[in-house]
Amino acid sequence: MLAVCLLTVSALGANIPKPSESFYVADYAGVLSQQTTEHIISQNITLVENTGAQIVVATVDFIGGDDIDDYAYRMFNEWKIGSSDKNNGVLILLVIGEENYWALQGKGLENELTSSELGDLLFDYLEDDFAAEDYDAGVKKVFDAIYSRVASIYRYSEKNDEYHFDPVPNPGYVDVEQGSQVSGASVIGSIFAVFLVMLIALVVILIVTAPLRRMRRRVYPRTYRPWWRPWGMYGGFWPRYRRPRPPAPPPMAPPRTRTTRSDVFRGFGGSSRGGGAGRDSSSIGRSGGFGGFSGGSRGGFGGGSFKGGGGGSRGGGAGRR
Amino acid sequence: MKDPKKARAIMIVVIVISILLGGYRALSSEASKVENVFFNGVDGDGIGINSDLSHRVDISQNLITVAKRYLPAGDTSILDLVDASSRVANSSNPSDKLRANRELQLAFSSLSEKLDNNGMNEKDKRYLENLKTDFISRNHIISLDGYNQKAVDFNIQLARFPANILGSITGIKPFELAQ
Repeated sequence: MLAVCLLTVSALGANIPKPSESFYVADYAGVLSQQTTEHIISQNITLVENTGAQIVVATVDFIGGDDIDDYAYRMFNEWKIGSSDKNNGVLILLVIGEENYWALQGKGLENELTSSELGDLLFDYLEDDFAAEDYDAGVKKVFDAIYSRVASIYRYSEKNDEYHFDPVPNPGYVDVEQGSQVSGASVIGSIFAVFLVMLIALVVILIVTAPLRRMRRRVYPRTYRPWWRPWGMYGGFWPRYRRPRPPAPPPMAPPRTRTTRSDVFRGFGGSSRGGGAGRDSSSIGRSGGFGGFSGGSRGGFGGGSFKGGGGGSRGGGAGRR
Repeated sequence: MKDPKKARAIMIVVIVISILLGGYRALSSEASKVENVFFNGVDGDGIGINSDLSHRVDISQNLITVAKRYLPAGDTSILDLVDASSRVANSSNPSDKLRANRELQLAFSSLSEKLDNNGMNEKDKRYLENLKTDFISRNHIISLDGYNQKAVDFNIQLARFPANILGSITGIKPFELAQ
């Protein structure tokens, strides 16, 4: 019960604001200049077109007493930053009123852009300006640094406008041995359990029906014949018990002419049983939305209205030291 | 069998055994699903708590390497961290791994605190800071993992009748939470 309460409490907390219209910059604390905002948006348009990655900057005044890492996690996943298949988003969050900041990467960047690396970038490019309350300068520097890092992961060269995308290597760690041990043990256990039940049932049936089988033997004993003696030899010498003959069958009736009766053929091919049972393969075809990320439009950002690509984060990240 | 009473008794026993076996299979199947999320992740891609714990063990090994430059190899804090790392790595079920992870947390904190007060050079100080960031970050990820909700749901199911009786007979225990 305590665990349920803890989980419930952790799910509550300050409300996360909606993403801004431009999506890439949500300056709710009002500390960023128009120039910096436009720079972040234009860089993101290029980045997302070529890699699907998104780097979102959000500034707020307060987060209502929440832990900044939890708040950033909720914001990231509500805004769905990064592409849905690569989960390659980054969130830079500044909480001005609490003099704190945090950066969080998507699930697909956990190994290539580690939390410690994010921490270094924040410390090297944001900390001094943040401490001096020059938030605009700090955000521009740290955004450019993180942008360069993400672009280098994808080997994107802005200079040549060339894109050599090498997919972020998926660790693809599957402990098949452990996984199969877990499922293998349960399958063997299940087979054993079914076999045991069947065996017990069989034994009980044999025990219960044993008297019935004995009765049948008394009524119809086998006729004894030694193997070396052919049938009919010494017919009267060895007395044998013979089964009484069944009565003679009645004389055969004249053959009937067969007439087609509909009730004889009922259920054989007259109905469309076979056809009706078929499944239309297209009805079980997949529709676009894997994993429940609705609105995940990849790459199609144009016309000034942008949104999250459906990406997610598992948490972690780094903040102010 | 001539005695119908005996036959009835045997049938009842068979039915009871079948019910118990069926219940055990259902409970065992649910437990397997929770374990699967622990080892293979919510998305089944291998990125889950088990892989995060492996990262934590790796980070601990790096801390031990740095620590040996400043502390004697037989220092108790170093040995505690070595023990805790191997317990996490060698445990085979989620609950044991998570209990070992708590010991790992304590051992890591203890050793890093000792090093903080030990006059490290700037480069190693920064490296230690990075190790702490990554270590804490992985713990945050673990605490948010979908395994926790599945474990809570299973534990609630296990606490109800008749699963609680079945669980105590068959040795199926509640799962440890990763928080």
